[in-house]
Amino acid sequence: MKKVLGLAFVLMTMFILVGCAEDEVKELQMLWWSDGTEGTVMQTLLDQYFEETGVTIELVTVPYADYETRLATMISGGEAPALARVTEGHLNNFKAQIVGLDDVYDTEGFTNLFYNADGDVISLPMDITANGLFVNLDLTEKYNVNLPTLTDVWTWAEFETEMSKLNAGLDDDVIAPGLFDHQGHRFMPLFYQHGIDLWDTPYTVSNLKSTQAVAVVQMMMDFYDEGFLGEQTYVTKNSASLFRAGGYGFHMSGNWNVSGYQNLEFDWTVVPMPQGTERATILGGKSLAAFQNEDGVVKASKKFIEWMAEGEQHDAYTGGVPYLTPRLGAEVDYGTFADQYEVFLSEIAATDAESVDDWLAQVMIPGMYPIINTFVENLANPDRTKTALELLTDLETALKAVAPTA
Amino acid sequence: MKKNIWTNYLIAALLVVVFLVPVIYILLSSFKPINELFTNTPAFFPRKWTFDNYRGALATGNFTKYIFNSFIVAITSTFLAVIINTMSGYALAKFRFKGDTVIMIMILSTIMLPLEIIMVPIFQVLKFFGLYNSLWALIIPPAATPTGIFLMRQYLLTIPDEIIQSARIDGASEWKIFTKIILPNAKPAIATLAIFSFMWRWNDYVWPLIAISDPKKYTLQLAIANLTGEFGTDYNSVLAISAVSMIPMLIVFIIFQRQFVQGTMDSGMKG
Amino acid sequence: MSVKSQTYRSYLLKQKIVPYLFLTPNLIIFSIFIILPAFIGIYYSFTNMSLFTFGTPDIIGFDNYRALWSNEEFKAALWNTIKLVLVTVPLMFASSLLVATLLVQPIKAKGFFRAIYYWPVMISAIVVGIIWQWILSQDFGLFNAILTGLGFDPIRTFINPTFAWWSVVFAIVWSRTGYYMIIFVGALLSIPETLYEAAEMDGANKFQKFCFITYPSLRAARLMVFILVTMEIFKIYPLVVTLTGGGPFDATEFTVQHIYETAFQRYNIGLASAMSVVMLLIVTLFTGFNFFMSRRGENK
Repeated sequence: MKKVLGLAFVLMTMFILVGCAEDEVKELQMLWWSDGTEGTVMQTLLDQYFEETGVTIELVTVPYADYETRLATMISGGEAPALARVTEGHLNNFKAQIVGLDDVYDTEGFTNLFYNADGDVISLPMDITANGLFVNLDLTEKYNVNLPTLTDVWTWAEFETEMSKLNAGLDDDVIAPGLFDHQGHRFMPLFYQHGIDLWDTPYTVSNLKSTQAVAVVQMMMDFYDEGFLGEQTYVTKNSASLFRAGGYGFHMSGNWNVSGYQNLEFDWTVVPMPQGTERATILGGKSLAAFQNEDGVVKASKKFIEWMAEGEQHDAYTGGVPYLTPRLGAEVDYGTFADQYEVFLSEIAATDAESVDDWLAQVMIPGMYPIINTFVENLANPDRTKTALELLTDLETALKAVAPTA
Repeated sequence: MKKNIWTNYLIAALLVVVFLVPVIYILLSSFKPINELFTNTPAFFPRKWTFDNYRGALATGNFTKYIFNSFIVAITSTFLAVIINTMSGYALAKFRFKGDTVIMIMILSTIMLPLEIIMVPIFQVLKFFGLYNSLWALIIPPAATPTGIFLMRQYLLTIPDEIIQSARIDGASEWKIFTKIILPNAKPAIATLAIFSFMWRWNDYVWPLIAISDPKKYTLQLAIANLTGEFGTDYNSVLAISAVSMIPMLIVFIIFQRQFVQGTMDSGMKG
Repeated sequence: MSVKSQTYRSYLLKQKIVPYLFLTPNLIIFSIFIILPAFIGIYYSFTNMSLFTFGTPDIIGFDNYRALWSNEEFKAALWNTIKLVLVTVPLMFASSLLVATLLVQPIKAKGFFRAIYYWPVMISAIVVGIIWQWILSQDFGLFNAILTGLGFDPIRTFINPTFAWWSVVFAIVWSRTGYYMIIFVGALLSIPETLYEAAEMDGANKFQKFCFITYPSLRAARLMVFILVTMEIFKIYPLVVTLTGGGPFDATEFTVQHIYETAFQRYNIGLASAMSVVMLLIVTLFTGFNFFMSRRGENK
């Protein structure tokens, strides 16, 4: 009898405690990944938020490769995080599971907003990303590579000529003139740089099989075949760590690596990407989103987003990493990275608005990223059997198969 | 005759090199500073011994937590495994009943199934039973292991039927027979099963991958797998953590080496 | 009389259900966590389930299976796996049998050698992949360092598809030989000495003794090893993923990895489930065939 009473007492206490905990949510989870110092900077802000409000937000860091899967399993497991850092791709895939943020913050002050099917804004833009070109100054200086300036940008032909000078060091300190990231996303600006928009009419008529497109793809294939681009990219699938170890003259990547490259053993900088008929980069951006959850959690999430959207906190994030800011009118001090960010800003300014819109349409295709990844991986494969045109045709077919109708 | 013996020893020594040296090399590499790791002229022994890699690895994550989680899971699951697999082994060894072959085949067939391909359904089942993101998901489902069942069955076959029969005639309940006769007599096999179970749970990767999303609940293998994805060719932390992950198994192995070997032999003798 | 027969009948009844009761915990776990998900998986194979389907998917019949028929990547992964099985099973068999034979010779410190050869079995698949990825690393690995030290050119290890493929074979055999070696040791030890003595008196040499006594006596162990290794290789995944990641360019991508990526990188759970069903059918055929062939041999 005593045992039963004792057990009942324990159970009751547990229920009470659990019930209390659910009333006012004092602890949230934020899913996160970092390319550089994003996590550290966010953690500082979270600590600050705790001091101001007493609400703890736990930063749960997951490797980017597993990020989407983790998010999907958490949501279907009934354990959606309160908040998560998301790309446009994620926002697209998880649209229905994300909470609308109307009236949470002043959306007028931001660019790169994302909306759901009902027209509600579902993200707080945190940073803008742009593709760009990193160079290893130690190597380029040693082999007399002429680098471009903001006013004197090189063409792809000039880029190849200059960077090929690094071949002189192949037996010595050069593994290959340069690297691309393994993702298809890093290759896409090449289309725009040659004046090619992907879609003439989304998603029915594309320009992927045009002669210009074939020429661009062929150029890329030649880069790999001639050893201009490092072959280790598709072995390690981590070009950033390859570049970090030295031995490569350039790394085609994006501004998220600026903070990631803070402590490199060699001198580096960012230079303008080569142009075809024009300059172009691809814009992206990470945002913060709140996921469907119990009311208490959603309320607390919205409160945090409101806080985060305020100029002081938001600029602390973009300035701390540092990143390009989506907050209009913000003055970000890039500190030691001012020169590098100047280049990125100039890339963005030089990009044709039409190209930007075209890319936005492309991003709307669900499952687009794995498709372009396979496409670019085939370009790098020394044992490939298909021609550039055949690969582009496959790409077009695959994209059309999954593209949204109307 | 002498020549024969010496070739045997030579081959045996060669095999020692093949099987042992890679492991030792990893252990040694974990003590090398970065410049000795990322060189194309690596030496076998570190020129400069350093704990930096270990310090770095421990700093990047809650590795003490992961090790703790792995321990909890391994030990609890082993307890459960010993009980339920001995029960099943007993049923299959000492009873003839309808469907016993069908059940054996069903149990055998589950060996063929790689968990990776039913990850999504398993995940949904876990979620349905409230086991998602709980360490219990790593403890209960894997405890039912076909290899364990057959291991126990093999051994229990050797317990004389007469003991069991006479206990029955004396009026003992089946459960009493199990706890008072079978379990004590199966000690060697139970020891083997316990050790194997510990090893399997310690090295488990797929169950934690499916079931755990909260990094606080990661087990060691899951954490290592995450590390390799993140660091790519940055081997220093990976090597240190891999070395650390081998240590508990090494200790268990040195102490219980005979049981491992005996257990494998027994499970393999007669099909 | 009736009371006694009642208790006797209830005793018999209890006897009948006792084994089922003892099997219940295991059967419950198997049913819930393996059998049930397997059937759910089969169900998904007939739907268009995706990673982001948070409701119920639509049934699309055999569409996924039809798509598999022309799916080049899946067929390549499947064929790659079958090749791996055909190559690795005999190698594993040979290596474990040979090492086992060594261990039953009259040499000292057998326990020591046995422990060393068994040790790699204890290492998790992930760490095995890490070990060999490190040793075979093209730029920083011991393997190339030794080659260059001996005056050879370094091998472009994981860029070369053939080398990468064989490194997978090697890592698997290296990490699992100890386990199957022990099975053979047990079987070898159970062969009666008298058989060998009789053969020796008939003037048989070592080779003949092996062919006519040892090998045939190992039938049960041989079958077991063949079946276990076959099933193991079909299921291979964590080791390969940490060793080569499936590269270069899918040269070492095997079935389970392809299924995993179809589900979690292409988001197509329905298609991945269909692939799983096909794969399991093939494994069953393989093992069934193995079993059948050995049974036929037994009847001779």
